Amino acid sequence: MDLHVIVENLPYMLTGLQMTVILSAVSMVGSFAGGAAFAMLRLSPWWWLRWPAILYIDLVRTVPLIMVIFWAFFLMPVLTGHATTPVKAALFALILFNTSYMAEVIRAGIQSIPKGQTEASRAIGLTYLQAMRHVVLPQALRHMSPALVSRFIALFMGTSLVYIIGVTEFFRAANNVNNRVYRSYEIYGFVAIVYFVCCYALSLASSALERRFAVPDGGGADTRSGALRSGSRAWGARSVAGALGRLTGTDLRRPD
Amino acid sequence: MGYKFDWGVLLVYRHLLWQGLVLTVQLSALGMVLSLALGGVIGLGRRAEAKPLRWLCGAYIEFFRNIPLIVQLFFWYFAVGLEAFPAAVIGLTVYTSAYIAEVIRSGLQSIPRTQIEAARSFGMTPFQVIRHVVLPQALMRVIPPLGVEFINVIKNSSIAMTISVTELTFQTQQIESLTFRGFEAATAITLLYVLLALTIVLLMAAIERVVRLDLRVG
Repeated sequence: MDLHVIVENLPYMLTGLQMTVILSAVSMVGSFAGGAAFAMLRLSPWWWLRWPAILYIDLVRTVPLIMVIFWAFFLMPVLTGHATTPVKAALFALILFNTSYMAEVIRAGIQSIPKGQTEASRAIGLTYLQAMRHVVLPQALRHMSPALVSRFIALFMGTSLVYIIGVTEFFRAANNVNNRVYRSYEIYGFVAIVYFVCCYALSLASSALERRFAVPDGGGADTRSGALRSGSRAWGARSVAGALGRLTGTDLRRPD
Repeated sequence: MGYKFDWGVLLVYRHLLWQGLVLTVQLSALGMVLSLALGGVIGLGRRAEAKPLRWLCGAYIEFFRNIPLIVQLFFWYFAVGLEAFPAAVIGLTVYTSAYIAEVIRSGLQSIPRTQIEAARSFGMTPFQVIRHVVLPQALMRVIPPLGVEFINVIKNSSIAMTISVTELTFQTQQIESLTFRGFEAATAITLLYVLLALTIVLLMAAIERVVRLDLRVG
């Protein structure tokens, strides 16, 4: 054990960690917007909006993140005619990929609000957008918040894969150090611990949110035991159309 | 768009595609079987009577779920120094088993303790309780999320390319570097991943049907 190499290279690795945080934060914001759009499309009453959204959401979730990153980095230039930088390609891939998961999180959140509430708001004279803005979304966001944190964890871990296209985030920074000093045990052990501490802290926050915003009316022993909760997390929402959607949706905290 | 498609390269390099597919299937199949076994044991451990055992299994799950798979693979490959394929199998198994353990645990937890007590007080033996009360309900609840995990194993097996396992995603790069036909290769291989996922979907649906008939539930 030689912890010296870690201490010596800590500043460099921390700049990598900074990149990891930036990548995850930016793609979180981007995929929230994208996910909201796709959730709306998927809930649309018109099939010609709904079906393409379903196709996108379910297809992207069957493809490995690495493949999406390759598409973004090697193939976008072929299609668009000009080269991209690794960071841009990484962001593009992470957002593209995570949008499909976020769409499901947001859809489940919106659907967790009983339809009666929208109808009631409409009946007292709110417009559809006002009903969304003042009645549905504030509650939906609260229901979604644990899943959103989980998605952030997934993104945080997922950013380690953009290492392959040369973005110097935390994992690549650590690799660069290792290529120089060749101390695999110490360095990969350290990397593992850092990821663990960050993600575990976030997942504690996620379960705290889950407890805080637990739906109060569902009261049975089963709901509280966590069985139904994790069950429904693994399923996404139950109304997912078709077998592919059912089986590919979704433990909401997967990086892949 | 000045790009001329040449799908012919797929035919020329079909042996690479085939090799990659075989390796992906092998890696995923091994990963599924092993992580189901390991995850099953750890999931049961989460429900054990002994508190230290419960805690230990919980720690295992949290630890391996919160470290990116690529880091774990690099650890097995570069730090421990295993060969590429065994490192990939072990990394994939350890990582996935943490998720599967959670699936198993929540499946078991979905059966209220009172049901087991009631069944016991009817005079059923513990084995009968498991066979007729616990298993039918738990299995039905566990099969769909297991399908999700199995699809994730296939997707995650792609990360093994980073430690030089020549599976499907690796072959994308291989064909790209041999022919500059990355677009065609990536399209074909993306489709292969979708097909593999669909296979799992159909397989799990079939298993669900068999179990439903066999256990006379639902």
